[in-house]
Amino acid sequence: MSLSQPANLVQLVRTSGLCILRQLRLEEKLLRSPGAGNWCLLNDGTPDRSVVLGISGKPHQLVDVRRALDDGVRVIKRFSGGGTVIVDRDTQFVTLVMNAAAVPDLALFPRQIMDWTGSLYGGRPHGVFADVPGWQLRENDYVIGERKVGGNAQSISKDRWLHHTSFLWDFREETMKYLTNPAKQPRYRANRSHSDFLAPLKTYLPDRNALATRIEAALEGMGLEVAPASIEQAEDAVAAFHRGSGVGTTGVVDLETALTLGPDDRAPMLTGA
Amino acid sequence: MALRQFARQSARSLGLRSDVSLAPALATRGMSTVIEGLKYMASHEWAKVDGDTVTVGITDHAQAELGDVVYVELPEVGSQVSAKSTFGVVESVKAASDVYSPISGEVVAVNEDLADSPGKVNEGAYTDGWMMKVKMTDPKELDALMDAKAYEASCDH
Repeated sequence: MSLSQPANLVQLVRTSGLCILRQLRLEEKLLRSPGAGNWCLLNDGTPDRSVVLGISGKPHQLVDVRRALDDGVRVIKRFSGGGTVIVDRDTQFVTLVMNAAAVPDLALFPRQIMDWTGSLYGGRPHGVFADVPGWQLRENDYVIGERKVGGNAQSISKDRWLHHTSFLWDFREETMKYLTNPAKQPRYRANRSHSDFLAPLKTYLPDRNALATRIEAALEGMGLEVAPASIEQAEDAVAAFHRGSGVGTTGVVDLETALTLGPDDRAPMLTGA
Repeated sequence: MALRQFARQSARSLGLRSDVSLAPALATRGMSTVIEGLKYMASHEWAKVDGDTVTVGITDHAQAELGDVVYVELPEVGSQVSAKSTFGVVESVKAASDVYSPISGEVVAVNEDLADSPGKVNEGAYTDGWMMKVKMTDPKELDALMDAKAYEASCDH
């Protein structure tokens, strides 16, 4: 990647069925690669159903560990903050990895970044959901009406920031059985079950390609220049910074060991996974 | 009046001299506090030098902007840290934010209270919210840090 490219250029990668573990590890490397430029990764679905914890997630408080182990559902711990999601072929992922210079007036703190992405998704006239009645950013969640349509999280490192979202194009109630009802909830959730709290995006968008198409227009509406790129180019962009290094904290939780631990214990990680 | 009392309490707990003359030196920017006698990084970490050991934390401005801190990841005692490199992570409002070491050296202590009470970073960024203590390998690295006035000015940009 040439370092002489415009500061507001975003390379946009569209994939379908990219494994979520591969995606998250790439995202972490992109964040920690200061010369890698700005990226938007759009991935439609992941082949392996997985639970994804935030950086501080404790398995026993958030996951039915025994059920996940028995059913072969992988639990991943990611590098960003925020809560727990379950992802599968009907999850649509949108990730931004940006230099501070791409949005020069944006202070790199969580609330300010959240406000900016709130404009990306809901601002008029270019926002992704500008034409969807009831869309709003509410207690740091993306909701339509009273229901959440996507989980989001951030990571901030030096002069780069990352914001990623997993949107539910569709979901099955039986998938939610791997997640416990979290003790810490936004007020508007009012202790509702997962199926009463969440809404599928397919209710509001015409087809599975709509999100990706709208994201590109919304980025341009926010003053960014968008250029298509491939996943291989994204992986090449980080190779120079991480050659041979095992950098990264994203990994797979050792569920066998997690079963032996207490409710307040941190996630034990599998090595070599 | 409350500001002078806060200044005395903060100064005492940091091992600085506590006298009335410190109160005017306790600058505020908006609702955030900057303390004289500490060193600062542009990335909002502070350093208190005591002989060859430096105590490190994040500033009041940083904790106010981050929001409620729910998790702090710290290095192992005995590990090495490098100036300007990440030594840990602070999680708040769905965001994991890296924190950077002002100096290089060996970690000789970490604030274990933050494991169960991460909110201490919000309640006392310069006092109970300290994060680690480092035995310096190169005191000259302190010259690259800002004083309170310079840090305060950098926050205004």
